Amino acid sequence: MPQASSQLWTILYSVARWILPALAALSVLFILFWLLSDSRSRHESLRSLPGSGTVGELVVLSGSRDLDPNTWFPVPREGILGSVRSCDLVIPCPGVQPKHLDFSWEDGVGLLIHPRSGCEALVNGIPLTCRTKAASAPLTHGSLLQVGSAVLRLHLFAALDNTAAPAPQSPPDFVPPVPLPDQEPFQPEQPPFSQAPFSFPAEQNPFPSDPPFPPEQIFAAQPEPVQPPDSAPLPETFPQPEPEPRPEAVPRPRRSDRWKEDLGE
Amino acid sequence: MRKHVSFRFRVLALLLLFFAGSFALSASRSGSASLWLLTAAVPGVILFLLLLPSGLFPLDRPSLAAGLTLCGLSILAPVSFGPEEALSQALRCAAALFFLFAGAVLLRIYRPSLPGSVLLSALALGLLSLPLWLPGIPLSPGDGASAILLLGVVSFLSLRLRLPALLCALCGLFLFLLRSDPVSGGIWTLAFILLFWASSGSSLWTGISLCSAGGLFIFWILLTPLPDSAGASVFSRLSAMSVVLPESVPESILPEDSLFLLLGEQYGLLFLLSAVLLAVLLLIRGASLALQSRKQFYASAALGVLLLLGIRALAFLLNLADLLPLPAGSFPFLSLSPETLCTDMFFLGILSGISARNEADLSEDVRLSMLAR
Repeated sequence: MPQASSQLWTILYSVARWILPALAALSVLFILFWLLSDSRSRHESLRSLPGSGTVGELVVLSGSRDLDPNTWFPVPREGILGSVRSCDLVIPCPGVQPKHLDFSWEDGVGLLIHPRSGCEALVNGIPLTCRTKAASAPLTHGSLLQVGSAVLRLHLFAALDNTAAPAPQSPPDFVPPVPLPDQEPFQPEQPPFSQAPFSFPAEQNPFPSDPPFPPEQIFAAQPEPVQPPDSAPLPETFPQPEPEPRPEAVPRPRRSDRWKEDLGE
Repeated sequence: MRKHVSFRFRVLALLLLFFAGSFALSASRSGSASLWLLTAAVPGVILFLLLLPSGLFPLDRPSLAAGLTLCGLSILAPVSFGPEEALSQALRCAAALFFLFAGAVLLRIYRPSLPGSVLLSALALGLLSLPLWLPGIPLSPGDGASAILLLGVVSFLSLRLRLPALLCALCGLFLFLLRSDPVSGGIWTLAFILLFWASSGSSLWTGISLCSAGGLFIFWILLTPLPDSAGASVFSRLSAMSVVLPESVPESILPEDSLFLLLGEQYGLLFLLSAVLLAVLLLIRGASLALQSRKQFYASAALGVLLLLGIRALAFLLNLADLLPLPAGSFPFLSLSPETLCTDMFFLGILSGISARNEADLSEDVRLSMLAR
């Protein structure tokens, strides 16, 4: 095999003494730039998908002094609901434990609720504890979730409410908000999940600026009616929403606003 | 996207030049056929893996670049022993590549479930206890078993089963101590406690696990004397290293020595610093993948990998600086042990699998947003 002469090799080695470490340092530097570029491009991709990673929103129907009605929270696919700041969904209401329940999205089933030990939640009036099977009462579009004194309604993104892809639709020019009926919102003969999803006109822009929700991206398609599971009659303690035109949604409070600290964080 | 792709090609070009130049320098001195073969093979494998289309097999290229560079350095370091030693190390690294693909495939196909968690944990604990049942067996997987145990424990945690996860981890620690491997046991325990705290968020449970692990360690220390550390000569060797390649080629060194120190003595402190920075970049990438993951299982798996690799690297460096009085194994990817190399590649495969899952989630979001229009 080819072998350099002693003199030639000495020259090569003298040059390589500086070039090889420089190449090594440059490689490390460019791998760092690569990581930064990858992170930046991912950030830009996520910015163009404002609902990315979420399955819908939870709208507060009844809250507390620290949580106004009509506040909405984007719901991630998995997370923790509780009253402390470190939770994914922060519900600062009486009766809500610091880490009250875990939730997870299951394709084809819905949002599963797993209350923690010593905590209880009501899904459409069905009580759930840590011993109850979560799949027995999944949250679907329009379902009610009661934790402590808070009552929340789940609005799913339309594309997540069925498995088949709906026909593409043109963005609506103006779609007035669907008013609530002048009656009990959830009668036994009118299951909550058969209600049509809400749609907002583009100019109302009820959504907070962070993250922005292009109105035409969500609630554009009517979901197929979901077969309601057998459910017990709803308790009478459910609040009665006022039969009036839907007010503008209030942006969710910032994390620093009056939310309890998580000392274990 | 164009900038993103151009960084990949720049890194690839630099790595090809670097490894081709390094091996060619040694090959031109000795005229060895093995070294000329490595001059082509090492850059060739790096080129192949970094250019592999993601449609064919999704691999996380930034972490792969860092890991393969460290692997390449592990092949470069033993060149001073002789060309055959470098070729043997190259063959070990090539065999370990199988575990890279195995880790990536496992993460793509595995879904957390109770039977799966039990199976993984039982397999890992079985492998750890193998030398205890069969003392004469030449194979005693420790690092590999910890990788499988990590997946089992993370699977339990993602199913919100904290007690089984804690029990499996403590069994693992107990078995490490019975095998007289306190350093691996300590690394595993520290990684598990941090992972448990991040996953469960419960100070009470974390406190219980810390007390249990600490109790086991104290019990073991009372029964067994601590093994000796590497010795105080390491500092003098570090201080004798040049910044760049030394002016005269060092003499051949015995192969029992640490690859990390050999790299420094053969190629200078700048090479050592590059190796440490590459490991740091790998850990940063692991953290980034953990933060991007949507499901707890993948986030915890990425966090577990970076904790195991990071704590091992830190323990090694502390041992070099005589701050840790125990033998601390090897630096990630810079090891002559086939088992350790395979485990490191398996971890790299896990990171690739998680990265592929994150990309799939993002594509799903794009598809859902198109459906909603």
